[in-house]
Amino acid sequence: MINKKIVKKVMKKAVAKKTTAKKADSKKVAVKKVEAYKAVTANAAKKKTMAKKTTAGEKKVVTKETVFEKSAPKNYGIKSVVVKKIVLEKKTVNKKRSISSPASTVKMAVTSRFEPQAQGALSEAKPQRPALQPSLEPGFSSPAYWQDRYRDDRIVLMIRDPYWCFVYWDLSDDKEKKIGNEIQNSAGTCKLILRVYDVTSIGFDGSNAHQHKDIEVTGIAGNWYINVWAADRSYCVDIGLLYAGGNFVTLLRSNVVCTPCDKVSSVVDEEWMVVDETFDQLCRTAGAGELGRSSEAITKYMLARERAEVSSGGLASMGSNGGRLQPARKEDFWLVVNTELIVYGATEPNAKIMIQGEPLSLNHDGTFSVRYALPRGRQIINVKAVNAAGTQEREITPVVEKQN
Amino acid sequence: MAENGYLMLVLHAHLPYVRHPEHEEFLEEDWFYEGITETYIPLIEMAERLTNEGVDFKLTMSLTPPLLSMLADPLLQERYLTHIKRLVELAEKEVERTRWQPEFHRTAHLYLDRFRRACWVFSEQYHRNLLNAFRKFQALGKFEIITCGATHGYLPLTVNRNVQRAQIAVAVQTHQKFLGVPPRGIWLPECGFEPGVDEILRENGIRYFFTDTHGIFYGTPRPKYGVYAPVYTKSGVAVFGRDVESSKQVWSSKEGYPGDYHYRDFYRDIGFDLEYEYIRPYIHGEGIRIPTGIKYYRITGPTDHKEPYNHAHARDKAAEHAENFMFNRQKQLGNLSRLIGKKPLIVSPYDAELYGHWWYEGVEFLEFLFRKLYHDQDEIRLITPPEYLAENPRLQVVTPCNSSWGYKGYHEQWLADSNDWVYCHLHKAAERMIQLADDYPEPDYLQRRALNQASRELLLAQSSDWAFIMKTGTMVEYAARRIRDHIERFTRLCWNLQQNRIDIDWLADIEYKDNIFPEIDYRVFANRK
Repeated sequence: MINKKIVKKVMKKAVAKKTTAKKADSKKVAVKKVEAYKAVTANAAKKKTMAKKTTAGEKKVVTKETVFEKSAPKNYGIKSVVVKKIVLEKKTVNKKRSISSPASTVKMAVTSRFEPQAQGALSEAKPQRPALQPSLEPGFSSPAYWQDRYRDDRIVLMIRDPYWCFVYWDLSDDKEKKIGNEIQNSAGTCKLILRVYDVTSIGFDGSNAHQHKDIEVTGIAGNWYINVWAADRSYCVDIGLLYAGGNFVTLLRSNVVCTPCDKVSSVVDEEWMVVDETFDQLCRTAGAGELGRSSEAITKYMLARERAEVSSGGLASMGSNGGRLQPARKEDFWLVVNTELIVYGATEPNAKIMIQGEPLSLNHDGTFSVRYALPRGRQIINVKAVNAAGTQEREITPVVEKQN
Repeated sequence: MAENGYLMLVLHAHLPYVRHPEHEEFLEEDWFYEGITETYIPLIEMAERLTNEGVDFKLTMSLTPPLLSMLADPLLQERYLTHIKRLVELAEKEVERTRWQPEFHRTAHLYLDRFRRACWVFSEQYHRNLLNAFRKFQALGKFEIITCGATHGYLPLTVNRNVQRAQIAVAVQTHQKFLGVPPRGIWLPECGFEPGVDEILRENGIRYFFTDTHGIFYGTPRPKYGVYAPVYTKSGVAVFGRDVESSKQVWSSKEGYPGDYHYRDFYRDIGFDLEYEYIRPYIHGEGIRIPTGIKYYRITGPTDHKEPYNHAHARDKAAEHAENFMFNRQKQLGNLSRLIGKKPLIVSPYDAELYGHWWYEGVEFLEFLFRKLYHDQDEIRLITPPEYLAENPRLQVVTPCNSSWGYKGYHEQWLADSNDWVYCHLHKAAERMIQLADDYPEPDYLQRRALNQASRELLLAQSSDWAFIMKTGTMVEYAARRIRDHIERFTRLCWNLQQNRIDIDWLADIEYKDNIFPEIDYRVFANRK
């Protein structure tokens, strides 16, 4: 997780560096640029291997590869890198679709509350599930039922744990155009950033945050794991443009989240409640300091224990596919040999048959077949048949010996 | 000795809604069949024996709405019967095949016996519907059955109150429908709690829920008794916190009971071990080797070499572990009652499928424990949440912290590189659903069907299991496929509604496939007027 994270960050930074480098057009920076590019390719390679390993949702994998394409040398030597990149990304979105679902092409051109993509030939139907084929009348466009992006000007902040939040964003084509223009007009000095604010216990107006930090990002749709300052604080994130002079223009603002506590509360005021059976009247009483000792003692008692290893195993236990013939260690060559013996034959369908004294049921045509795991040693396999009347019997006794 | 405190055992029984009528046979449906054979039926049989012998016991158990729906589904019932009959047939062959191998022969008999019994309990005793059994023990006061999220949606990552409300309200309706009474308590999916969820519980008549240890422990203000007494949230819903010590004894991969060398090894299965042609009729239809449930080896140790399983020895171990568990709780309650100066409560929740399925001897362990608690001591009293609350009406008011019982205790299991891509789709679909619910106060017949189906598709997509599976890395493709299918169906329904051109054949087809919550009313997603 952490490794992945670093890879991602390095990669994104590298891309950003490259962009600035080209704009500045100075030799010094050009060197940096090359370094950055190296880092990108190295990381991209690493990432691709990782993507192969994880069988994660195909869409995810593809998304990541798209990122590589963005940062790969395709952009190299193009003057207006950012603008070009956006164009490129549009292409890759289409490409991505054809990768993720090999299928018929369905045209779509509808704008509506559900904002299907404005243009492009997008294919979504999957051959193995005909039920999902759009069945609208010919000549009528239908939307892609799966959209990788919604272009709906959204930024959402989520909590991962007391120290990390996750933000994802997806900007509309209008905003995308605006960003492209701004970056071009400012000759590349203006940057797309995430601004993270600590807004604990305030009515945030855009300027009164306790503190903020900036994270440079690329891409009009993306996500980021943010390492926030502290547990039990409220945060919100803007995506916007930061100009060379330090001026920041917000494009979108996220929801506010409060990170969880990571320790015992310092608030010791106690409030007590009795909830009656009807569950409607809440009677509150204060105090009750006469009871027991402080919770400090319990704190110590409880926190002496690690928690990670008592997490829920959940569904992981179901349908496990972990088994195999021999748990072979990869580096060791191995061989397993087992033997089984099939004893089969036939008699009158209405006869009774016994093998080693155990009765066996006959198939309707009088045949029988039994299979035994054959252990080492000698097996005396007495087969005895008695006719329906019980007046006649036949006996045959093969002997089998397994050595070793 | 006098009574020192209370013990509350909680089992969380859940499986995602996996039902594929469009396929003759479907690999992931086996989760459900394995659950029935190895966990649910053994638990029911245990309850049966204890009740018949007059051993009083109390078990708090969540049965999630998807699980309830699957247990009551005629198609899955039919398929389970086919499945268990095939297992009986295989076990019969195994009894023959192992005749010259006494070390395996006994175990083969054990499986044959258990499969035959499972078949009988399922088809004859409870007429294919195990809910009959759960209702029976609920009525007898042995099981306190609680609910969960409608599709086990992970509430802290929904971002939207309407979604949380829908998950809870649909769960309560489903519970009432299948069990005849509204649930008094809830097991929040993955114990995922964020402040504010308690308000929704209260609106839905739910009186208590559970959090992990730190959920209460890091709550505000500081809980006076830690997790050894429940608390009330400001909205008046009681919260019970998980005890770490007793959890660890069972859960821990290092020192937990299930890792004992005498217990059955989960991985070595004849589905992988035996000759292909012989085992082929009992594995996946396409010839893929899968576990059959017949396993002949014990854990043995940290080695590849496994010794044959001996059930009699394993059973002795289970009895020993039950004894040890009880002894440790007695000691723990003794210490705690001195520490806090009142009768402490130990809450021990586990995934139900751990017992029987994962830890094969787990249900026997439980049965030994119940017997010992009843016959051999009077320091510990088994209790359910409503009984505790009736005896202890006055509780501290604490707001639990945002938490879960997953890896590291917060949301990382469901929000990581492998699964974070699902949220933009789930959030977008939820937003669209809310809009639809607001836009169609009085739909016509067909629109109503489309709207209700849209709400089913959304709820199915929200199941936390998909993100969980993606994180664990097995069966990932299936999980990704499910999210995608449900979101696609949802989006297409939106499109149909918007065009006022509902593809009725297709709608009927997905109603047939995704048939959970037949009585759902899509307005459960609507904004409050």
